[in-house]
Amino acid sequence: MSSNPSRKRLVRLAIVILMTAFVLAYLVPVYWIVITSFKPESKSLTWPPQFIPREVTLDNYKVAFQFKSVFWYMKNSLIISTGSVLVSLVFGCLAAYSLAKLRWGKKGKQNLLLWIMGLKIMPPIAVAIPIYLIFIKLKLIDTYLGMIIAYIFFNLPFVIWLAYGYFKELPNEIIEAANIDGCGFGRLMGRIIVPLTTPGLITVFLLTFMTSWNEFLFAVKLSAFRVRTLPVLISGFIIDRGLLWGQVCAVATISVIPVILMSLFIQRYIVAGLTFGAIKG
Amino acid sequence: MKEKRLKWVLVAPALIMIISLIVFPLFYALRAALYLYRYGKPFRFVGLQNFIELFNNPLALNAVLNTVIYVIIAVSAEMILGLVLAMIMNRELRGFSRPVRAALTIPMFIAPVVVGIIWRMIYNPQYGLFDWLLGIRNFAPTGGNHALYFVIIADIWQWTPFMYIIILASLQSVSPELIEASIIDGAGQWQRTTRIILPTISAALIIAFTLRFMEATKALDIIYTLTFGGPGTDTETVGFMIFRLAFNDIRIGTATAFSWLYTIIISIILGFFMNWLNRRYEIV
Repeated sequence: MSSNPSRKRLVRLAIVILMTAFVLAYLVPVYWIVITSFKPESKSLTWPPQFIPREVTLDNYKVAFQFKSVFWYMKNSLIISTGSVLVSLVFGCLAAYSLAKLRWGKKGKQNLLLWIMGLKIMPPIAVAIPIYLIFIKLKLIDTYLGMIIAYIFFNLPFVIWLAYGYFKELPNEIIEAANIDGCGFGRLMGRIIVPLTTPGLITVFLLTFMTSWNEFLFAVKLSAFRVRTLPVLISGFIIDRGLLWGQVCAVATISVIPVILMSLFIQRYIVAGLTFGAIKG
Repeated sequence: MKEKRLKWVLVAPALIMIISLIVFPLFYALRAALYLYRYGKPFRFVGLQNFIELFNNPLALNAVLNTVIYVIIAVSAEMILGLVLAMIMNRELRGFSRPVRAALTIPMFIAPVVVGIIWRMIYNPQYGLFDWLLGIRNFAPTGGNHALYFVIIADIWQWTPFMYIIILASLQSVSPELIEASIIDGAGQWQRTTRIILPTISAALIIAFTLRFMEATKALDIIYTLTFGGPGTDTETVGFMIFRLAFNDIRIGTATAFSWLYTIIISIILGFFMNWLNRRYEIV
């Protein structure tokens, strides 16, 4: 059956078409957002759809950068994401190193790791409501500090898990040798452990950064005015200002570009990253 | 420093953060669930009244059913599509797997609020790509009682690549000797797939399934920008309803009661599952 060469070629052609359609299903909507952002508002949606715009304009971007500009929201997103990711990365790595390389009872370590992983099961809304109430009392609503603290909620367990996976792979001999040479803990981390796992740690950094950058639920409730992030701005277009498609698309394009660029950097580690390190890519 | 002390010193800050950010708030929420906590009304203890109210609220049942439908259809469709596409790719077009993967990682990292916007545009009844593609007009995918299924399509769109990428990676790690041996032994293609390939990648399949299941139960952002739970409450999932109760209706007591019940149920289901998974595949 499959020895028939013309039939084999036909099957292959069908497969190529299928896979092309699959990829196009992803590229077209993204292209659609980008292209709509360059169309004048009156032509943002047309029938039949214009895949190649007849008129190109930067008006949507001009509006986006006026008044309370997109830059301002981007700055907020950037400060909050970076702050939270750095705190989570430092303390997550310390905990992960301890669990991966120091002497723990097998049962105790397993329970602790499973418990940390189990925290990811919880719907974020279950924590978002009490954190909102607590933050009102502590006057942390609408502050960078509050947002950074809140984002540790999803970043920290993720960092511990992935870093644990990377540290566990390191041969024990290196650490023993360093200990014999009288290398203190700080130097051991700074000179040996971190440099050896840098690619992995960069992946962890980028993945947690992207999660924070895209986060919406905490952002929309824990900010009121001063620390609103990009996703909150985007959701606001739909609710309060009616449907200014051109502008929504301009803002969406601006928010998506950095994330797409980052996702290209972590291709090699993506599988481990997506599965909490449970599967090595 | 003695190793015994050091190991705790290193874990302590992370543990303290987790406890104060997750464990403490959860108990704070439990306390709120026992109180009447509404806008403009005095704050007072009401015992289990919030929970009882929830059981009598038909909208809560509606949200639970919507979530069950959402999770089951979305996750199984993503799994099946991802598996089929990954198997095809692995057999026929191995050379292209890297560029294809690069294109397919994009949707996973687009903010769900943006995915909601994208699909809102696609589903636009006057000018949407969806109607255009089907050659019809004025059909509103998110406008009738079928809206939930079209929201699910958006979820499937965003997360099928997740399954695809994980499954393809594990397919590529199946040793070629194993496949060759089975060919020599005369196994047909179907037998090879069901007896050798699927069992070898089963750990990856189950892990991918569990992770997606876990995330799908939390669905909220994408609904917020795509339909805002509407029309009516047709696309309201549990996560979205709790959000609405807490922040739109300011019924914090009912919302926290619901979120506690929901967390317990999800934890029981996934807890059993993960425990079993860990015993079988020793992930930790």
